Amino acid sequence: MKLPSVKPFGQTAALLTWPSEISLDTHQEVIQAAHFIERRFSDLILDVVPAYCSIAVFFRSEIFRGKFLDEVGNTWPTDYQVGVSEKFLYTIPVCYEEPFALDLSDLAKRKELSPSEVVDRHCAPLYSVAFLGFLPGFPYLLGLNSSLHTSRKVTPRQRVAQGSVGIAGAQTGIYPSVSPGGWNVIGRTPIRLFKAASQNPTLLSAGDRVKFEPIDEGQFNQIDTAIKSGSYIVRKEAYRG
Amino acid sequence: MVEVLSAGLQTSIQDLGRVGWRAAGVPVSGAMDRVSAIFANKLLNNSPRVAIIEFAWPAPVFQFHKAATIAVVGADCCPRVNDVEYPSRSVLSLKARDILSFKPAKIGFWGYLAIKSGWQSEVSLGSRSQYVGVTPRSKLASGDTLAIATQSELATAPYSSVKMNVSHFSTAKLCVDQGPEWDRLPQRAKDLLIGRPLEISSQSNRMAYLIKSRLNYGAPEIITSPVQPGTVQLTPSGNCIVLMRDAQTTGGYARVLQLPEISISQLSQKKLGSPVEFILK
Repeated sequence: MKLPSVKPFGQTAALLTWPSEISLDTHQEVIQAAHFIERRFSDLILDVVPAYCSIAVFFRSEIFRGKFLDEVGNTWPTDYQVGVSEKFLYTIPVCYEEPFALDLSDLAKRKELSPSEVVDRHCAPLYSVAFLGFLPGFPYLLGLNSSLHTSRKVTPRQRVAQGSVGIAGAQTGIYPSVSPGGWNVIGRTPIRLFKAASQNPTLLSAGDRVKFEPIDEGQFNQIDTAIKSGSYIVRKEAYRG
Repeated sequence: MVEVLSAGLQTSIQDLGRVGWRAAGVPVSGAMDRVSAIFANKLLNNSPRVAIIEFAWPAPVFQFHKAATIAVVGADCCPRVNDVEYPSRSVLSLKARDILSFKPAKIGFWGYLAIKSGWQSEVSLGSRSQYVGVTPRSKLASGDTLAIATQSELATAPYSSVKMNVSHFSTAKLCVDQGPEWDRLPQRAKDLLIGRPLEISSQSNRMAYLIKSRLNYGAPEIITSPVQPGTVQLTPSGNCIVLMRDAQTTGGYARVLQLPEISISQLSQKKLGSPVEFILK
């Protein structure tokens, strides 16, 4: 693993930066680095926040930040692997039909595709969870087919429903809760991505993989009912990237 | 128990925030003016981490159904118990059935109400700080009832007033550090941001304070990257967004400056529309 640039960020945080790009290779290094820092410096840190090509590390104090800045260069591993069964592949069912797919036909028109071609291309990749941000539990997913890259809506919606699956630029993501937002909404999942009352509040974490599976409205409602009664388990398997 | 007769508009339970959940996209939250929140608890010999009530104008009105010792600090909104007004920044002893209200503040924006042993509200992800989607409610509402611990030692004096350094509330000069994208700014943009009076826009809240600059320079956006309370983002339109306690954890605007902890508290107490000046350390 190559040592990234490491600089202070405010009084008690440090910012690690890689070359400025959105790519799977850079992101893979970010995930490995975040994993390494969380374990090697666990007694110094409060939060390790990865993004596409940078990590913010928040420390318990300025002194701990200083200790990290002194030690990080010498302890940085040349080779580092995130252990097996620490990252998972989740299969997320999505209904790409009305009344959920608010912007699907518009997006298809802009891209000169049929709506079903958009759905096929959206369901094909294994996406990487780049990081969670914007809203509690909101996953930014890497790996969107370039033929689906679409700029944000000119006028954001005041209210995007929980579970909405959207596209913004080269990114696709899922709204874990109701929120204003400008992503193009192409479907909705009944799966809950954030539960504040739980010890483990987010379904996904950075470095996990996600695959979308198309379902119809009937299946959406069945899964939604099963989730409410506590009898639905999200499909999840160990994944080593 | 304490009853919220009228909640005001921006009244919420806060502590020093929620740490450990930023990677899940959960904001830190916590008292906008940490200095005042910690001071309020200190006056009552509380731990600095216990919950206080934060409010602005219009202020809340409470009825106490149990005797309690409270501290009111922050903005100089004088507390009023029934019909008797007390000096701003006081420790007060209240009896059951007393009604507590506040006068508008002349200096400062956020007021803090601490109670002996702290307000007992739901803890979510290790903190009582109210935030939409994380705690059951995002702020106090009229009619809410708040549990308080039975207080074994009540203050004997009806009130005592305390002093706090007023410059914390009145200073327009805020110390700042360079942010990660500072070096990308042309010199003329740097000159317009530092050492000049800028105006705090009324479109400001617990998430961010918007500051109007005279820049005709809009910084290019960056690849979405981590941000924190105190990060000053320069938008493509040339205005500054100073992220505050409820800020999201990542953002795509250039991070040109970073306010240290004390400057975040000081900025939070500025009245909307008033001037501020960034002083680069």
